[in-house]
Amino acid sequence: MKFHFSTTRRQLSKKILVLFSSGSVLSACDFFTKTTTDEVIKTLTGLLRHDQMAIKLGQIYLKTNPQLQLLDAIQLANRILQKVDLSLETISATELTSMTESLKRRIHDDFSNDSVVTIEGWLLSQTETELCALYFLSSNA
Amino acid sequence: MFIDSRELEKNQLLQADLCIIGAGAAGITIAREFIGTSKKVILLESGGFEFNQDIQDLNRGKNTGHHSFDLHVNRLRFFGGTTNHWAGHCRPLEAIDFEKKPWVPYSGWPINRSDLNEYYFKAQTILELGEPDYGDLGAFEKATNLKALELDNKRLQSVVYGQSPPTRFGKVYRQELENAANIDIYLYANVLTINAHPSLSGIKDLSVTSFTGQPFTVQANKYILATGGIENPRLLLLSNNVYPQGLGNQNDLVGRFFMDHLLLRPGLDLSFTHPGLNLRLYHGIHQLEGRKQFAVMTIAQNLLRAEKLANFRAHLYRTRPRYQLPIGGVFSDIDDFAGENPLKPARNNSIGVHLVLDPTPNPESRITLSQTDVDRFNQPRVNVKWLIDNTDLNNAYRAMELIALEFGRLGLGRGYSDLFKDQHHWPNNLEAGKHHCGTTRMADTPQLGVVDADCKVFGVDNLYIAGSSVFPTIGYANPTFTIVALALRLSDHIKSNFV
Repeated sequence: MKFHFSTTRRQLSKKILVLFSSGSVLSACDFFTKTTTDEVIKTLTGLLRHDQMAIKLGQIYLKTNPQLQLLDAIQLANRILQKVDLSLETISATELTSMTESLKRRIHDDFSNDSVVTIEGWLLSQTETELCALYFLSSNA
Repeated sequence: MFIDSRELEKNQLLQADLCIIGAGAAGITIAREFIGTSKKVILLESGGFEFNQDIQDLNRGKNTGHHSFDLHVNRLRFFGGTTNHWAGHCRPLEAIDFEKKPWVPYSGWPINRSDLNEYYFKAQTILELGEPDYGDLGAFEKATNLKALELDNKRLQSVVYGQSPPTRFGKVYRQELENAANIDIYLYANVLTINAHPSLSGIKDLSVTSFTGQPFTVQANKYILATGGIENPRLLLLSNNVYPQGLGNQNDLVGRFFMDHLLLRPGLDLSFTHPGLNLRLYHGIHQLEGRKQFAVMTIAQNLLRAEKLANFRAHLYRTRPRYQLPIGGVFSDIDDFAGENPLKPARNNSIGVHLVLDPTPNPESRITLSQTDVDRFNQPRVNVKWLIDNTDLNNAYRAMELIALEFGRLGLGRGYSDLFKDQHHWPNNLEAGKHHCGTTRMADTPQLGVVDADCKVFGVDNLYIAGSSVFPTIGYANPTFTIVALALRLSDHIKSNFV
């Protein structure tokens, strides 16, 4: 499955300006190992097994959730990342690595906090269901 | 001594200090308590020593509400009563089960759990339970070398259940009762009516017939009705020689509040993302030194209060999953398991959750006498209108949700329930526990119940009721342990009131 989302030239110039104006060498180094959007989405959906089943689940979830239908894959990925205090705009390679664990924790936290949805009789975490929806959207992008 | 009523002379008069109607768990327990005392006891049993289809036929009746179970199948009419086929699961009611809960109409016993503690302890011997510590999960874990789930104790808790062999009262205590000089047990003896004294507020005598039709009369100072949650109200309603509405029925409460445990088997399918998960503590019965035990999951009492829910217990057992879309395994990497294909709904990567739910008391859920059907003695049969409240459905949903939430939180798997698919209707596998309760409920006042805290029928001086019909609410625990404990307490009360 291929993804074709990347940072635009305009966004790139803006970020370089922000980074150098902050004067942080460390941040600048981190920036140069910056990830692309498709890498992030791939990592997110990589948490799920069984592509077709996950996509089907995402499709069912989107059908029953009109609010999410308004989002595209990038917006949904951002929404998921925000749950672990990250964003597509700024996520670094290091953060991408740790994101997986944060999301797993977040999913288990969803079950602690009753942030769950029911789909086809299954009780699932809100976050993991959004991952399925992301899988569906990105596979159709 | 056992006496076959079919061999009695017609219209014989039998006299005793105490007459117990019904030789099941309650009746036999009370009779045993009087062995060797100065009191003469008559114990009347409708059947003989073995199952007999013609006698069993007396139990027939109609389900006019939610179908409970065929009434001639789920209770037994022979010596030992329904203990001849009970499962043997034992746990005391929880303290909260006795409380008046503002969100549960008609809840609250006039006694507390502490009033029964000594009797529960004694009942353990009668039920051959050994001495399990119901509060000590750690000891059970240690004895089995199995770990309990690390449940969030603000939501759920694991508790220990005792397992009776199960004790067949009719077999285990037959010889002892046969040898008792002061106990006469009449087999094939069917009480037709309990006759109130026309001018005094007490019982004059019982009209009884043998199975083959010989009528006889029993007179006693005190009477205990112990024929089960359906026959107890039936006999009171049939006993209308002085009070047309039936004995103890001055407030139209006899037969009302019929309830049974609500069972979903399964209520939930847990699809493991960890197929190697060991849940043996929760399924199967563990033989330990001098006792048998198993564990169940129940709701944390604080959550029950905070969310105004009902008590429940959940067993785990192997079953074929009900779900059609096996999606649980999609999340196995999230739960740090990436093994074989967990999408296949195989028996080794899923388990069923058997829900047993405490029902809401409902005065419209009731037992009445049939206007059309009679038994071989021309006595009206019963109609059982079992009604299930919408609150029960919501409670069942939340119960299954809590277990699914905990398996998700622990990263062990995901839960599927027909209730999650349609929360407005009961799944088609809703069953009854066959624990008939509530029909002669215990209360502080005759406006709220049929018997008082001592199990004496309000307004009748010498008539008591034993059995689950006196339970105003039933918690999640199987009733037999409490039936026996209450019978022991009633025995003490009656002994102390004999002059």
